Amino acid sequence: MDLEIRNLSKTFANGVVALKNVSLDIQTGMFGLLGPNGAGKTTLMRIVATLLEADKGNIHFGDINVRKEKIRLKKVMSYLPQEFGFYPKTNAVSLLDHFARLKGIQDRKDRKQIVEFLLTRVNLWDTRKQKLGSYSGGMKQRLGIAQVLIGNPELIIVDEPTAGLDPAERNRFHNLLSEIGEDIVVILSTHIVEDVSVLCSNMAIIDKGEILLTEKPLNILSALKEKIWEREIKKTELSGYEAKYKVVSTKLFAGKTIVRIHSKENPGNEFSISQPTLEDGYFYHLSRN
Amino acid sequence: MFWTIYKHELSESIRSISFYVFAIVLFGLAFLNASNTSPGMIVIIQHGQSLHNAPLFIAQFMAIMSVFTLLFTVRIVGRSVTKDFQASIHDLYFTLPMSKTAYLGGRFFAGVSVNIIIYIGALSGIIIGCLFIDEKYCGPHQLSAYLFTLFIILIPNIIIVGSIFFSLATLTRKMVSTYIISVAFLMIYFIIVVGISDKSYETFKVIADPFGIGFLEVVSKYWTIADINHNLIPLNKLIIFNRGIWLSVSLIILFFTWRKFKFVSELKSKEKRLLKGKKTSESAIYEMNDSIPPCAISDSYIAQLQKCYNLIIIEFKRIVFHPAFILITILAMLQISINFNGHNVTESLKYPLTSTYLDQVRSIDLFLISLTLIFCGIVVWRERDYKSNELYDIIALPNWITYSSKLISVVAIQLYVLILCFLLGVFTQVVIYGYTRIEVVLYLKSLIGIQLLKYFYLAVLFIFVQNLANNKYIGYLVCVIIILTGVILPQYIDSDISLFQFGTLPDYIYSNLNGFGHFAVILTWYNLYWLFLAGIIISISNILWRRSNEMGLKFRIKNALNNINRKDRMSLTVLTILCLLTGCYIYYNNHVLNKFITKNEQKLMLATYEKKYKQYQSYTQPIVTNVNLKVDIYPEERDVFIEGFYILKNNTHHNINDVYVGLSDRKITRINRFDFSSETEITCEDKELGFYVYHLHEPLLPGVEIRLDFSFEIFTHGFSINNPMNELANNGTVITNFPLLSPEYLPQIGYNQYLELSNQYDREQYDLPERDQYFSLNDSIGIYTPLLRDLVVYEAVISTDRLQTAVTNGDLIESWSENDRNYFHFKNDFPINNTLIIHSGEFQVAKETHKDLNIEVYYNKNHAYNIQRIMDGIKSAYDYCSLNYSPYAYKNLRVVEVPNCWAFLRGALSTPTNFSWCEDEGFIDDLQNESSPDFVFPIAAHEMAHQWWGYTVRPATVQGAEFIVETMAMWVQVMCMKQEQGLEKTREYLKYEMSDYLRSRSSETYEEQPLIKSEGQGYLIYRKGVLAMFALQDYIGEKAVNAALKSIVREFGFKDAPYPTSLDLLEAFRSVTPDSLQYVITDLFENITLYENEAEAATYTKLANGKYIVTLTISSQKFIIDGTGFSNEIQVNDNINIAIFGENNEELYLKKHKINETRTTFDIIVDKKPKKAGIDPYFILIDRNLENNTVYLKTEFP
Repeated sequence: MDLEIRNLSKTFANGVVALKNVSLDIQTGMFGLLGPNGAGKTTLMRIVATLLEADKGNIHFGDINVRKEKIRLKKVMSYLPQEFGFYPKTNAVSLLDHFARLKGIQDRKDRKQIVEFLLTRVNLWDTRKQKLGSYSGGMKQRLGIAQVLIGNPELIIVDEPTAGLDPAERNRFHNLLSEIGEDIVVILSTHIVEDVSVLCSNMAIIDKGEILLTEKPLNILSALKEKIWEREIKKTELSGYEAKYKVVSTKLFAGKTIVRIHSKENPGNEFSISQPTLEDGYFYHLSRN
Repeated sequence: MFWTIYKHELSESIRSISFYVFAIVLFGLAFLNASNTSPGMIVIIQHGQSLHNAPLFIAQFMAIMSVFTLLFTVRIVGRSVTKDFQASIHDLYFTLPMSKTAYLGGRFFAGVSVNIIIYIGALSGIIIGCLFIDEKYCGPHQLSAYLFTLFIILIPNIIIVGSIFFSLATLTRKMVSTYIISVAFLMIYFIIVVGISDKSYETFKVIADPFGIGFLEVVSKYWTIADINHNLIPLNKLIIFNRGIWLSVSLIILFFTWRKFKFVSELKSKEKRLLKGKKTSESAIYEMNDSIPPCAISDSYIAQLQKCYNLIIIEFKRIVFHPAFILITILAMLQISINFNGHNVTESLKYPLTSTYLDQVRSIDLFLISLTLIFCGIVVWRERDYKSNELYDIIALPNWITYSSKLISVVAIQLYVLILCFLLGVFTQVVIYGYTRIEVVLYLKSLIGIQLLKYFYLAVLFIFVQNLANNKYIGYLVCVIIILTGVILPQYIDSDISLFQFGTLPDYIYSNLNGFGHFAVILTWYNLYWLFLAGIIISISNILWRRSNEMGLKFRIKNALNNINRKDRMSLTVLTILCLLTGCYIYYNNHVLNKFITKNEQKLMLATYEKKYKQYQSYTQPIVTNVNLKVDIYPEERDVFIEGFYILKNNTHHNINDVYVGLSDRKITRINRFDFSSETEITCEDKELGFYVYHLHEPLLPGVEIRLDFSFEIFTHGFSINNPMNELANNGTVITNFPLLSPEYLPQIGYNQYLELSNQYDREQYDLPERDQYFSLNDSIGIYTPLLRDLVVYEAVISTDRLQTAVTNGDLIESWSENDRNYFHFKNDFPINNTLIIHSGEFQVAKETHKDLNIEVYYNKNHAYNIQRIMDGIKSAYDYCSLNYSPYAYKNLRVVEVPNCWAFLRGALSTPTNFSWCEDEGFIDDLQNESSPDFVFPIAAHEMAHQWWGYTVRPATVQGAEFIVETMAMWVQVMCMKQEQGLEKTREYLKYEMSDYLRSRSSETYEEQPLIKSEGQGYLIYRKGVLAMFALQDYIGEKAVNAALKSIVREFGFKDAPYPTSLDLLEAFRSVTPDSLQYVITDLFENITLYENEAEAATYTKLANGKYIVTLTISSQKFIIDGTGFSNEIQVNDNINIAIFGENNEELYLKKHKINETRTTFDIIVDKKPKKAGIDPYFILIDRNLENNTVYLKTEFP
């Protein structure tokens, strides 16, 4: 089933325009939604997850008209909000069991299986009987991820799922997600380019409420092939370079400033050609906006 | 450093909104309290006749305010520390170079100072409020009164409360727990300190009360209006001790807090608590790279219900273990047990009836309403508060599942508390009291049918509000405003708003005789109406249920209108129709079938009655000499048919042209017949006020009789909350023409002065002159008017339901059954007083013959406990009176138990040959219990005595009339008690009567009269009366008193006008009193006399002959009080008892001595070793301070 978003607009009561005429087609597989903070990612996710109402536009998931058939969508959807909490006096096992029940897993054995499986996969098995109030941010995040996987969802929306995870946990999460992401639609919103580059077969870049680009990560990379150049500069020279070149990014590496620019031809001036990364693509498209 | 923190904190607090809110609220309340002169409106303190700026009121008001505004104080003091933790900037503060003393001290004293500023503002509110009222309400302001209030009451209160809750807030670092504990503190305060009404715990109360209210109450308990207006509050040992103790407690608490407090980021206890929960070493079943196990998802209806059930259980568990729930529930149970088990030593102990227990359960309304309020907020906002709302909102649950899980979990909690109440009740009844008649059905009806439903309506409403509110605290605020409006508003609305007070059931009375009786129908209909309305609110809440991040109400309404489906629309329509129909039906019953008369309309009617017809009061009227009735009572239908005739006789020397008849339209449905035996013409027919004037074509000549035939019907139509006609009970009907109790069922001749408005304020409102309720002692009309009507020959045939027995006055000459009904024929040839009463009910009868008297007690089958005691009391008074005054004029004496729903009766009421006794009194007293005083015997004796005092000797309607009726009945009562229970117990009883008298006289609203001029005030005719009579016999002897009374009975018994007055009694007393003691009669009956007798010191020396010589110094002051309470000391010149007691209170010496100096010293020789000595040790004289009448002796070595 595909998710089809058409001409979505949303303006908040305080006048902030969150989404401007957003349209997206998302097929089975992992879809990355990349954008800086405040770009409208969360608003878009929440609208898809029925938690917000769009001013204009339509969303269809397969034959489900999301605006009109919320309950139908909810039956096949899972959502991990960017920010969430749990009742602190319960533990992971009873929490997941509770969610499994609410998501309609009637059979006690089924529930036990899925809960134990998920606890293992998110590496919370050892702390499963501990009060949730004592969980660290990362542990809570992992529990949230486990919760998303309950109930055979066909559409999974995860908003900034890897925030607060250490590299090992992030790796584990990537594996888990890619495993289930083969047959269903998974939308992953993030500002971390690596999540997308590792997992997603399709992606979109969003900024200031607008979709800048929808493309396969591979295509983005190939479009930038032999167009990214870098060199080491003094910090004070940066403004001069910014005026002169299309600076994609500047980075500190071992105390030195490294500037990367986009140029179809060799810019000379001690620039050397560099292998393009998805990050370059991301920054390149953002800077063009 | 301290000053920096103090100043910073102070200036920050003074700029906060809460400071202004609290200051304005307190100032406003003080202002309103001082400037309010309407007695209908009470702002904290009722001033009555006293000055609004009396020192006592200022102190009391501020002390009460410091309790009611405790939460304000807690907030200001608590917030001064917790705001750091809340904003998580404590880490910043704690790393600054400052000392604990400076940090805590600065914060604490700033909080205290802010409070002091607010309360000083409130004090000024009193002064300013006094500027707005008439001078007569306000005396000169006394600086010392304000200083006392500020330095002795307010500042210590703030420091005490402040230190306790500052410490709590500092140590727990949480405002929520501080609030919860402060609410608990208040509840415990109310239960323990305010709840104790037992006088023997007075000292405890004074010391235990941290707010000083107990002190103010005790110190002023005997204050009259004059005392209140002029006395400053004495700064005595008790208050200094109280302030000292509590201030040291707060110092200790502050020190403890200072020691315990640490500049650390997290409390150890919190860290520990979170890490609890085991780390399990059990190894995982799944491997890291297993794939998701398959599972079946069910969407069936059963599955939905199970989801709902699961949510309810989880919510229920969370509430049950919530500290606020546990606390409030424990306190509620505590309150019930204390109220139910605790009893005053001056009151009798009752059997633990289920209905009595349930009355206590109803008193925890406040707890259950708070619980409902708190948890409706918590459950509605639970997910949002823990930020897990987005996780829940995207689960495919229909609104009804989440909504009903919230509602049901709150209702389950309410049910849980009520079940606890039930268990506590059964436990108390069975285990503590060994009482086994547990009425489970009654428990169910009351706990579920009335209480749970009431709380359910509230839960529906509160959840509705919380669902609409966009913030939990705004939701709480709106709910509180709704509750308060519901309490306050109805007082100001003078019409039927019962259909708009959401969830409020009309008042009802449960009777053990009558059950819920006719109230059952009313309660059922109102419950139905509220259930339908609640159903409507439930449907709307369900539709508007918040399920997304879109909080706006406008959006939700739009969305709801879009999504509303046919089922919702159908159910809403059906519920609305049902609700309207039931509402209409209730309205139809209250307003169409029955007449609805509001309080003001009622007052207006009475005022109009007086204005229009008072003119007829002075016209002489024929008296009733014969009453003949045929009464058919239908208790099931609550209908009565009355048919009969009066014979009226012109007892005057003038011709009578017009007869005035009173017959209330309010209760009588249809008058079939109303005919005089001679030609008449109606010249005035006022149906509304029930006043008719019949003009006789031929005047009624003196000594001539005329017959009045009447017949009318009383039908009960539907139900009425306005005029429920409680006297027509299904079991326990009472019909009477007793004058004080609005004679509405029998025609009444002449103007009825008992209908006049009695409240002075109301009279002013309706432009009525000040009322003289009583004729003055020598009034010529007064002494020719009997207090309780004339003597009549009475005959009645009463029929009732086949299960019931009917009883009235006189002798039963025949009874039979006919057409499935019981008939009773009563007749009395010897005239009886025309105060008749007719009962009908399902009674058990106990009969006993004592000498020439047949005693019958008609009682409910479950109330057989004290029948013998009742008989004993009757016999005792019968013997005493027939021996000392005259033989009993009749053959019978019947006692009838009446249901408590008969509004006129809480105790017992005597009518000729009968007396009626309320089911709540006497019948259910637990006399098996040693600690309970026996009031059954005395009351029975008292009521029996009325057959002589009231119905043999019938006083004139002048001041002091009740002195003859009630005081003499009290005299017989106390003499019977003395015979039966002994002197010691009687003295104990009289001691309570004395304190009751002294306490009550301070709440006299007009002026206190001497006994012979009393105007029916209970504290005079009963309390002071019995003390005076007991004192009289102490001086002149019981025999002499009875000889005087016998002469009164002989002179006035069953005689027509002129009727006896208190002056006749006084004359009789004087004639049996020696000249040297005539002053006693003046002091007791003609003056208001108080003494202050004190044994100052006493020592003893053993003499050579083995005897002991006691040297006793006493002082005695005597005061004559005028009506407003001003006391004038006069030189004492009295015979007063001087006594010496040995071991075990053995009386070694008791003799009256002439005392004519303020301080006197006696040397008295006694045989045995003395222990205690004193003046007036048995409190014969009225003395405000009884404790100092005796002292323990000290030995003196020669």
